[in-house]
Amino acid sequence: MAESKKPEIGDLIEFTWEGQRFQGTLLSEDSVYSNIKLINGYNISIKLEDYKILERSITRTQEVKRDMKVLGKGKPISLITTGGTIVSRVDYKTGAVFPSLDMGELTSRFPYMEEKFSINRVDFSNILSENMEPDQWIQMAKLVDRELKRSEGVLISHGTDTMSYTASALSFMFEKQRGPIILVGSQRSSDRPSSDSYLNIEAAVGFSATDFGEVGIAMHHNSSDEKIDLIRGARSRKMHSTRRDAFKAIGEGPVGRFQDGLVNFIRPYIRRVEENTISTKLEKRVGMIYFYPGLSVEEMEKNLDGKRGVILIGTGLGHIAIKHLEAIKEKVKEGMKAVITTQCIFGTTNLDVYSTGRQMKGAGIMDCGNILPETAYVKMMYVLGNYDENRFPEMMRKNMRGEILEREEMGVFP
Amino acid sequence: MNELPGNTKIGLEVHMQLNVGKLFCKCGSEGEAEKMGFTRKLHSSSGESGSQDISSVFEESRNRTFKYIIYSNSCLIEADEQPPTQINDRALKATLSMAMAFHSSILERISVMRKVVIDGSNTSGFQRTSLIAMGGTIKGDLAEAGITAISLEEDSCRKIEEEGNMVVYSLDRLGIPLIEISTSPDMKTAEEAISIAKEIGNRLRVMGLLKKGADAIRQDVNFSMGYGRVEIKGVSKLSAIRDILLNESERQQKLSEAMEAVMKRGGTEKLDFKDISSMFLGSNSKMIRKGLEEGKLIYATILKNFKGLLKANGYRVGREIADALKQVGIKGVIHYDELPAYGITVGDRDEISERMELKENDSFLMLILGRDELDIARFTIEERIRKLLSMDFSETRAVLEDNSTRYMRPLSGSSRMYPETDIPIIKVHEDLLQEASRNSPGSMEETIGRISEEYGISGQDAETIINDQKVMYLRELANKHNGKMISRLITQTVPEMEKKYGREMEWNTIVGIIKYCTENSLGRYSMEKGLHMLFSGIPMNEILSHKKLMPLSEDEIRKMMKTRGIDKNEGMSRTMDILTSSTEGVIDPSIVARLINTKKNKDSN
Repeated sequence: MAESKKPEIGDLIEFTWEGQRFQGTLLSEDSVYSNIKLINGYNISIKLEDYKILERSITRTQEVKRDMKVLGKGKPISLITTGGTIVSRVDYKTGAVFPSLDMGELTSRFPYMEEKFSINRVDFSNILSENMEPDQWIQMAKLVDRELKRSEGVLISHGTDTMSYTASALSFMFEKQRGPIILVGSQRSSDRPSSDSYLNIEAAVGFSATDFGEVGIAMHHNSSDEKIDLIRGARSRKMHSTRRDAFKAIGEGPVGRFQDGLVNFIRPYIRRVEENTISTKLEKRVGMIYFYPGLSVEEMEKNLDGKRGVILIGTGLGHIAIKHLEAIKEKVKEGMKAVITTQCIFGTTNLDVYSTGRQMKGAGIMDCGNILPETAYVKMMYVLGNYDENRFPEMMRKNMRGEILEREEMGVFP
Repeated sequence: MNELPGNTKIGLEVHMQLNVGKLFCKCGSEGEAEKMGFTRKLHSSSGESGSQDISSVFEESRNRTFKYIIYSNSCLIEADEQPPTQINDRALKATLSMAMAFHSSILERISVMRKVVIDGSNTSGFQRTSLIAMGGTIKGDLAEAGITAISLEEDSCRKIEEEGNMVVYSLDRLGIPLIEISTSPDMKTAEEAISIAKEIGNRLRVMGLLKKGADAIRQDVNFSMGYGRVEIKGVSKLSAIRDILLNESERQQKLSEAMEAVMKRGGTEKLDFKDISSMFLGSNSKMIRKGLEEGKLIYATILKNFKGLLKANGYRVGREIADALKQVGIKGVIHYDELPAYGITVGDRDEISERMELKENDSFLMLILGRDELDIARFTIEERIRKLLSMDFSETRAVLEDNSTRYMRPLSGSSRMYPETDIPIIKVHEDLLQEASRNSPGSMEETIGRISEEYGISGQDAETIINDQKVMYLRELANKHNGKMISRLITQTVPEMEKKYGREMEWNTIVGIIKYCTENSLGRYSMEKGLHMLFSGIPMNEILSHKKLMPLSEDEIRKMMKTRGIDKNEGMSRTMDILTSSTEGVIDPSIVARLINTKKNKDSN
C-alpha cells in the first residue's frame, strides 16, 4: 500500500502532522510547504513528511466547457469575450485568473433567454482590461463591425478598469451602427455567489436586443441586485474602485434601465440604422498630462515631446500653472494640439473666466466644454486620425457621440 | 424516553464571539441600525474541484431575495462592496491562546477559506473561515473530548424576518470574529456534553474577550445513534441540550421503526400524482377553496405501504415530508392520517381512497399546488422518502422553541470550501506565538485563585468579574491596595447605577473617570460622584473639569455646617443631604460623621 514515490498534484494522500493522521488531496507545493485540501474542506499548508499515497490523481475532469458557441433559438446576439472579472475564474492550483464564461451556465440561470435569443459567442482575447491598448480597440471595432452584420446586437464582456476607454473608442469609430454595442463588466467575480455578473449580463443581453444605435455600458444602478443602468459610453466613468455601482453617467442620467427582465429607455438616444459606418483610424501620438502643484517644466516638456496632441487635465475650470505655458506655446506653434479638461470630472471647462485661462488660450490651449478627460483623449486620437488639421477645433468642440453635454441639468450631480 | 441510547455519540461545535471588533475590517462590535439597506440575489458557484455543493444547489433552487439593513458598525466590506482587509490581529492572537490552552497543534501557515453559504446570511455568499489548530484535549468535569479543529471565522448576519421569498438580515453581526472549537464525538450523555461546552466557554471568559449578549456562545450539536450524523444547529442554551437530544433520539427511533415497517410490507413505489380538483368543486374546506381560487390544483398520490405511519402511534413521517417541502417553499400538505381535518370529511377521505385505489397498507398524500410546482414537489418527496428508507438520517437540523428539531438541509460537503483569494496565506511568526502563549487562559479555578490573590478580593467577586468579562478593567484600574474598592465599583456600584439610571455607559468612559480619580488620589466618594454624573448624562470633559470631583477638606465642611446652621440632632443622612445640595464638591461622609460626633461630645462636655 505504502508508496515511496513523491505524491503528485491531485493525489489523495494520508499523512502525519504533529502526531495526528490525516487524509487530503495535494493541491500544490513549493520547495518547503505542501498545500493540502483536507477531507473537511479546509486547505492546510504544511511541511509534508510522513505520508503515503492512497489514490493517484485521475486527470482532473474539470475543464471549462468552452465548446458551446451558439445557444438558444431567438434573436441573434453576439457575445464577444475579453478578460476581466466578469469572465474570470480562479485556478485554485496556481492562483492565476483565467477566463471562463460558460454559456450553458449563463442561460440556465435565465431559462427565458434560450427562447428569446440565440447567443453566439466569439472569443476576442484573454486580456485584462488594464493591458488593453489602442491597437486592441481597433481590432475590437473590426470584430464588432463583422458581428453586427449577422447579429441584432453585440455584447462585449470587458474588464471594468478601462471599459470606459474602450466604450469611448468604439463610440467614435462607429459613426453609425446596425445595432446596439453593449459593454458589460462585473465588480465581483463570477466564482462568488454574490457576483454582480449574472444580472449585468442578463441586462446587457436585454439592451443588445433593442434599437439602441450607440455604444453603452450595462452595470448596476446601485448596490442592490435590482436595476441595471445603460450608460452612454462617451459619458461613462468608473467612479469607485470596488462597488458594484461604480459606473456613472457623468453629468447626465443613464439612457436606459433594465428591471424585472424589461428594458426601459429614460433619455433620448440615436436609433440603429441599416448599415455600419466605421473608421478605425486612430492617431496614437496623443498623450494625457495630469497637472499638479509642483509639476516641473522639465516634466511637462518631456510629456509633450513627440506628441501630435495632448489632453491636459487641469484644475477647476481647466487651469494649469502659467510657468508651463511657454513650453506648450512653443509646441503648439509647431502644430501640436492641446486641449484642457478638468480634474473635477463633473462640470465644464471655461478658459474665459480667470486670467490664467485667458493666458492659456493665448498659448494655444483650447477648451471643449464638459468632455471627460479620458473621452477627450480617445476623441483626439479619432479626430486627428480622420479629419483635416484645420478642422480640429471645430470637430473637438462638436458633440459627435454624446460626449459633450450642451446643457447640464440640476440633479445629476451625486 | 428518558435516556439516550447506549450507542449515542455526541460531538460539539462551539462558536464564541470575540469582543475585539470585526475580523476582516475596522468596524466595531456594536452598532445601530441605519435607514438604508440593499437587496441581493445569490447564485451557487462551483468550488475549486469544479463541483457544486449539494446544500448550495438546494438553496439556490429556492430563488430567494435577501434584504440587508445597514448598521453603523458595517462598511463596504460587510456590504460585499470591497475586498477584506487583513485579519484582525487580536482575534488571531486570542485563537492561538485558546489553542494553547487545550494543547492543540497550531498551523505554521494559515489559509483563509471561503465556505459557501447561500442562504443569504453572508452578503458574499460565503463565510470566511480559517483553520488555526488541530488536535488537543478538553477536560471537563464529567468527560474528556478530543479536538478535531479550532478555527477562526466570521459570524453571519442576524436574521430579522422572513416573508415569502424575501429574507431580511441585519449587518451588525456580520464579520464579528468567532472562535469555533469542534470536538470528536467523544461524549455519551447530555451532561458530558454540557461539561465540555462549559469548559470551552470558561477559557474564553477567563481571557475576557467574550462579546456581550445572549447569543455570544452558540453550539451546534452533532448527534448519532446508529443512523448517521445529525448536525443540530444553533443551540444557545446549554440546559436545553438534554431535552433536544432526547427528542431527537426519539424521533430517530420512531422513524427507523416506521421505515422498517415499510420495508417489511414490501417497500414503497414511485409517486403517481393525480389531479383530483374536480372532487372538491363544492368543498366546504377553506384551505381547499382558497387554493382553487388562487388557481392551484388539488393533487393526490398513493404512499404505498405507509398506512398508519404518517401521524399515528407516535410515528410522524408526515411531518418529515412536510418539513422537506417547506424548505422548497411548498406548504399545504395533507395526508391520510390527519383526516378528517381542514374541512375535509371522512367521506372525502374515503372517496379519495377509492379513487386512488388504495390497498390495505397504503396511505395517501394531498397537495394544494400550482401546476408548475408539481415537479419540484414530487422530486422533494421522493428524495426524502428514499433518504429515510436508506436508514441514513444524516442531515442538518434546526432547533425549534419546544426543543424539537426541524429538517434544514443536507449536510454540507467539503466541496463548499475554496480559498479566499483576496487574502494571502498568513504566517504565524514566533513573536506572535510568544505573545499568545503569555495570554493563554488557565482554567476558571486557577484564574479565580490568581485574581483574588493578586488584588486581595474574594473568590466570589473574582468569579463575577471574570464571568462579566471585566477582568481587563480590574487589571487596568486596580492594584493590591485598592483591589477591594475597585472590585466593588465593578461588581456593585456600576451595576446599581445601570439599574438606577436605566442605561449602560461605555466602559472606557467609566474607566476614564476611575483612572482620573486614582491618578489624582481621589477616593471612593469622588469616584462615585463622577459615575453618577456620567450616568446622568454629563459629558466627560465637564465631569473632569472645575474640580467637581475634589473632596472638601475637614475645615471646609466644618465651615459649611456652621453657615448652614446644622444642628447636632440633625442626623447623619439629613446632614449629608443638606451638605451635598449646598456644594458642587465631594463630601466624605466619614468626615461628616466625625464632625457630628465631635460636636456632640463638645456639647455634652
